[in-house]
Amino acid sequence: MGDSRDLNPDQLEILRIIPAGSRVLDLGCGDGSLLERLRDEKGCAIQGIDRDQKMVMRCFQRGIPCIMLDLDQGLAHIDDASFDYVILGRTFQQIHRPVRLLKEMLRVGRRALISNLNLGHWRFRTRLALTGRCPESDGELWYATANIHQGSHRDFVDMARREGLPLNACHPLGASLLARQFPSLFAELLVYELGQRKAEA
Amino acid sequence: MIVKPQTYTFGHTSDDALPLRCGRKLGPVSIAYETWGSLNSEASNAILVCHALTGSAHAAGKYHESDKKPGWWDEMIGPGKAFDTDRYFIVCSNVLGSCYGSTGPTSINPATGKAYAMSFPVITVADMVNAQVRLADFLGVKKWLSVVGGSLGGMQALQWAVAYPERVHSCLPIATTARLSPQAIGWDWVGREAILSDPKFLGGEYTKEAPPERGLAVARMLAHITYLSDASMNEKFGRRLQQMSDVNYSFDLNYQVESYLNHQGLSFVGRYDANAYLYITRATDYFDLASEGGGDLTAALAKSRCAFGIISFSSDWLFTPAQSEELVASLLRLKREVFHCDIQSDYGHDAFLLEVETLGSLVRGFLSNQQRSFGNG
Repeated sequence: MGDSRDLNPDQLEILRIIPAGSRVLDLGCGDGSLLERLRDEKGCAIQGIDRDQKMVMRCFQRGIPCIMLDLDQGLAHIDDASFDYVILGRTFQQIHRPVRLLKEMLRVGRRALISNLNLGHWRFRTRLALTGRCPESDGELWYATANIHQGSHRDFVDMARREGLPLNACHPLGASLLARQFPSLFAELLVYELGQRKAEA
Repeated sequence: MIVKPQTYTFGHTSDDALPLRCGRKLGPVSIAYETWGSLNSEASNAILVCHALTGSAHAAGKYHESDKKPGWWDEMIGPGKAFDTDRYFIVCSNVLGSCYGSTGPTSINPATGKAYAMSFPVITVADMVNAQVRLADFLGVKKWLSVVGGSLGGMQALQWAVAYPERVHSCLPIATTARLSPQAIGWDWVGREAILSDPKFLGGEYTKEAPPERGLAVARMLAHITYLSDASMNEKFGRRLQQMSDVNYSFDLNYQVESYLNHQGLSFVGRYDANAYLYITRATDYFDLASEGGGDLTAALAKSRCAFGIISFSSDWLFTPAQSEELVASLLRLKREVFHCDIQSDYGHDAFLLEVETLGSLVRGFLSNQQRSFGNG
């Protein structure tokens, strides 16, 4: 449908994970490209949320259902268990109270899929060790970026345990055996799956 | 674009008359309307544009080349515009109760030979829509590709979606609400009190030559403030004085904002009827979409089958973004796919007439997607 762009690797992974026919909510859905593919290729019922007017307008124009909402305000509009899957793609790090949002995601959906950058990747570790500097994020300097909650793979797993979030699976991205074997060091990007293990209907 | 005002009249017999929510029957009923573009052979490209409180059927184009101003949404409706008249058949009709050609308190009551005035029945948004249904039948439109409107127009669009689900493919409610807040009912009340307490009102039996202009002007000035925002008034007027270098220690108009409101009030008196104003504002007060679902908004919306594209404006404090979000929440509860854009704007409620570029781009995309799915739905 016109200006559909290619998906990111983590979006492709999410597209692969979600079973056909699911009801899917994408938080921070951007221009709705992932939702569009979920609808067209997997027959999913889709709904997007974004806070950026430009993105919401793109969704309107492309026929991707999207509502305008700031995720920091929570998901109070949405009833419990309204969705099978709730997606948070590369947005976790921008949320002021991310744990509250993850709990909200598990309230409105049976499963949550979160893609997140791993700051423990060896390249970031090496850069920090050699230059003494944090990684740039999205080309912004560390004090100017909207990314306020960045952590490593281990940090994420740790958070899930401390906060009692049921971490069901981790999907390290990249085909390399190293990334799958030692994600903490070799996976730059991971998709985390929260929710009850036996939730499939 | 030259457009011709038209009128459709029905309800000459008691059987054909329009049954109203208040229990009375109204007939004959005339509906003034205008159309742009042409209905295709499958009748699948018809869009109903519903106007706001004191609007008319004259949404676009001019009656004569020499007209000073085109219709009220001319920037949105026309060849190549958001409501593309090369693709769509656009209809706009004047609401029941108005003074712009449709039957209202200024119309002659055939039983008495005199204007209805205050003997006109109290009408509702549902009645307005029921009258539009008769017009749709007459025009050969079984199902609208979209019903769209801002403010009171949006209430009509919502009412259509819920009361006539099989006749609405999509609904675009703009800067509107499922029900008026007590604050909005309050403004309407004060406005009507200004009219009713004008000594020239005479129980509604005033003549055309001597209308209750003071009361009507005050009502309009008051209402006009609710259509703007604090930010837009600051921007537009600040505390600037009107053609004087200092305040003059009197109650004459000193400030630009006073002069502006005064002008708005006076020009309104020249173009609108006081009785019609009473009736139309009352219809908005009474509007509560939830009543179509036994008092439950979600139950009401459950009756609808169409896609909803809900548009609000961030600075609208008359029909707030939160009120649009109520609609969104109900639709999500029903597991419907929902479109909602809260356009960032300083123009307040009036933004639906002013933010034409952003609005146009949303409407254009939404309609073309809806046109693709028409017939499947």
